[in-house]
Amino acid sequence: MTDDFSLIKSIQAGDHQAFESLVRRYQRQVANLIYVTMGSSDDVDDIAQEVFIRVYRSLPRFKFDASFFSWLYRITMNLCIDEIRKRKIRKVLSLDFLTEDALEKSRKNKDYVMPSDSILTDERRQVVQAALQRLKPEHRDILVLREYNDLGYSEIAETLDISLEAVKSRIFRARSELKNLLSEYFEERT
Amino acid sequence: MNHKKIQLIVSSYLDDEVNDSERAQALSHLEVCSECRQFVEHAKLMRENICALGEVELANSFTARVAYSVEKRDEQTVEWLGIEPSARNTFILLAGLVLVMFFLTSFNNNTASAMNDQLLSRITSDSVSERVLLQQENLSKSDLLYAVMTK
Repeated sequence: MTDDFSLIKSIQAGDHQAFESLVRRYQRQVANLIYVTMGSSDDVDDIAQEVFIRVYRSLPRFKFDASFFSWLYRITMNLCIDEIRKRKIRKVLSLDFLTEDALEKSRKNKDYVMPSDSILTDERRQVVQAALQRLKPEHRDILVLREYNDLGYSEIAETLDISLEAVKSRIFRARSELKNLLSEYFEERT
Repeated sequence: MNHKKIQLIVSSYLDDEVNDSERAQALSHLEVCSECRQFVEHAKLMRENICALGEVELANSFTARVAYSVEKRDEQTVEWLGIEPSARNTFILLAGLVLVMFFLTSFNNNTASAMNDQLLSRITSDSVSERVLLQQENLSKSDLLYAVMTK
C-alpha cells in the first residue's frame, strides 16, 4: 500500500486518483471523529465532505514534517469547532435534561418496569455522548483520541502538538472530569 | 511521592504507557488506595462506553462526491485563468478598494475647492488688494489665493 506522503506528492502533481485513495483511506476515521465530537450523526456527511475539500485546497502547502493524520485531525477539529459555534450545539446537547429529568424518571420507573438491554444501552450511549459534549474541549478531544481512536500517548502528543507529560496529565484530568459528571448516573445503575 | 503524581502514574498504567518501575508503583499503590481503585474502575467503564458509541457509515458515494466537488473547483480555477479562488477574491477586493479610494479622492478635491471659494468669499478685501484685483479681468482662483496670501 502506498504511504501517505507518496500519495500526497502524487496529488500535488495533479493525480486525482491519488486523492480518491487518500479520501478512502481516512474517510472512516474522519467520520467517526466528527460523530463523537459533534454528538450526532446528522452532520457527519456534510462536515466530512468539507474536511476533504479543505484538505485538497491545503495540500499544496502541506509540509512533510508531521504525520498526515495529525494534520487531518486539526482540520477536522477546526471545522467541528466552527460548526459547534455556529449551531450552539452545546445547548441542544445539554446533559441537564438527562441528569435531572431522566434520572428522576428512571428512579420512578425502576419499580414498575426494567428497561430492556437495548434501551439501557441506548440511554447509556446518549448519556456518555452528552457528557463528552459537556467536557472542556481539550479534555473531550484527548479522550476521543485515546479511548475512541485508540491512539498511543506519543501519537496523541504529535497530533495535539503537546509534550508527553502534558498528554499524561491532560488524560488524567479528562478522566476525572468525566467521572465527576457521570458518577451519579453510573452509581444509580450498579 | 505525593498522591497527585501517583494518580498520573495510575492513569498512565491504565493505558499501558508506563515503564516497569512505574507499573510496580501503580500496582502497589492500588492495593492500598481505594480512591485510585475507584478511579481505575470508572475509567475502564468509561472506556467501554465510549467505544460502544459505535461508528457512523458514510454513503458509498462519499468518495465520488468529494472527488466531483474538487474537480468542479479545479474547472472553476481554469475558467479564472488559473488564478486561485483566494487570490481571485483578493484581487477583486483590491480593485474595489482602488475604485473607492479614487472616488473619495475626487470627492475631497471638489469639497476642498468649494471650501476655498467659501473662504475667499468671506474675506473682505482691503483697498490695495481690491484695487489690484479690480484692475484685472478673468481672475483665476490662483490669482485670488495669491492675493489672500500676500494680504
